[in-house]
Amino acid sequence: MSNKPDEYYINQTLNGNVNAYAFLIEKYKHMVFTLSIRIVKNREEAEEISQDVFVKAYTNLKSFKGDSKFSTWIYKIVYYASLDVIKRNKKQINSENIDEIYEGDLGVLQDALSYLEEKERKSIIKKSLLKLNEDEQVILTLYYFEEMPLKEISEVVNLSLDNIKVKLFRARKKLATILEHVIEPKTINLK
Amino acid sequence: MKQDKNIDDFSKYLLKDVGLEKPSSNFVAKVINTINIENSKVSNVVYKPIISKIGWFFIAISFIGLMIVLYFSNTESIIQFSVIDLSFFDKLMAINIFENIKLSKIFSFSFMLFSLLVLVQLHFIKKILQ
Repeated sequence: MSNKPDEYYINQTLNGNVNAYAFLIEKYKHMVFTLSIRIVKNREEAEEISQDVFVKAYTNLKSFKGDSKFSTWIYKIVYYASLDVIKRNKKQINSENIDEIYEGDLGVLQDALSYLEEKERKSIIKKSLLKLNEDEQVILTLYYFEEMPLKEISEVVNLSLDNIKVKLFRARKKLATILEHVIEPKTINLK
Repeated sequence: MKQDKNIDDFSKYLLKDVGLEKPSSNFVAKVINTINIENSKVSNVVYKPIISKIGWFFIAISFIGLMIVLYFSNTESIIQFSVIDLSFFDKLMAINIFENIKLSKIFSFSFMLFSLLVLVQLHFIKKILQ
C-alpha cells in the first residue's frame, strides 16, 4: 500500500478517479464496519450501513473541506448512520446498567483471560463490549484501538472533551466489571 | 492513580486483543459497483433543448428575411386582404353566448384567488420534484 496522505486520494477521487476512492475504502472499511457492528449489533445491518456510508461519503466528498481528518469525518458519518438505524428499528438498547465501580484485582482478571483459548477469549471480550452503551463502545474502540486523540473523538460523537473523559473513565470500569461477571463462573468451572 | 493506570493498560490490552471486525470479502467491489451505477445514472440524464441550434438558426434567418422583405416592399400590403370578404366576422362577434351568464363578485374573486393558489402550488410542487 502507498504511504501517500488521504488528501492525495481525495483529490484524485474528486478528479473522477474512482479507483483512488477504492483505496480509501480499503483503508477505513474495517474500522467503519467495526463501529457500525458495535452500535447496531447485527452483522448484515452493519455491512449495509457501512456500504451506504462509503457511497454517501463519495457523493458528499466535495463538501469535505479538510478542516478535520478524513477518518474523523467518515467515523462521524457511520456513527450517526448507525444510530439512525437503531432509532428507525426502535431497537431496545440492551446495554447493562452497571453502577458498581470495579475495584477488583485486574491482574487476576487478566490471568483468567490468558488461560482461555484465543477464540473463546475474543468471544468473551466481544460479548462484554456489546453490553456497553453505543457511545461507550465507540469511545473505547477509537481511543484504545485506533489510538485517536480525545479531541478528535469528541468531534466524532459530538460531545465535549470533559464529557468524553468521564465516559471513558466509566466505560472501562464498566467493561472490567462485566468481564469479571462473565469470567468468574468460567474459572470456577475449571477448578 | 495506579489503579487508573492499570485499568487503562488493561482496556488497551482488551481492545487490541479483540481487534477489528471484518466485512465481507467483496465489500470494496460492492461499494465501487454502487458508485459506478450512481455515476452512470447522473451521466445518462442529458437535457436536450426543445429547439436545437440549427432550429434557432433557421428561425433567425426567416425572421431577418421577413424583416428585409417588409422593409423593402411597398407600403401597401403584399397580400391583398381586401380581396377576401371578412365581413362575416362582424356577424359572428355580434352573437354573445355568455350574455345570460351572470357571475357574482364573490364568485369572481374566489375563482381568481383559487387560480392564483393553484399557480403558487405548482411552483412548490415543481421545487419538491426537482
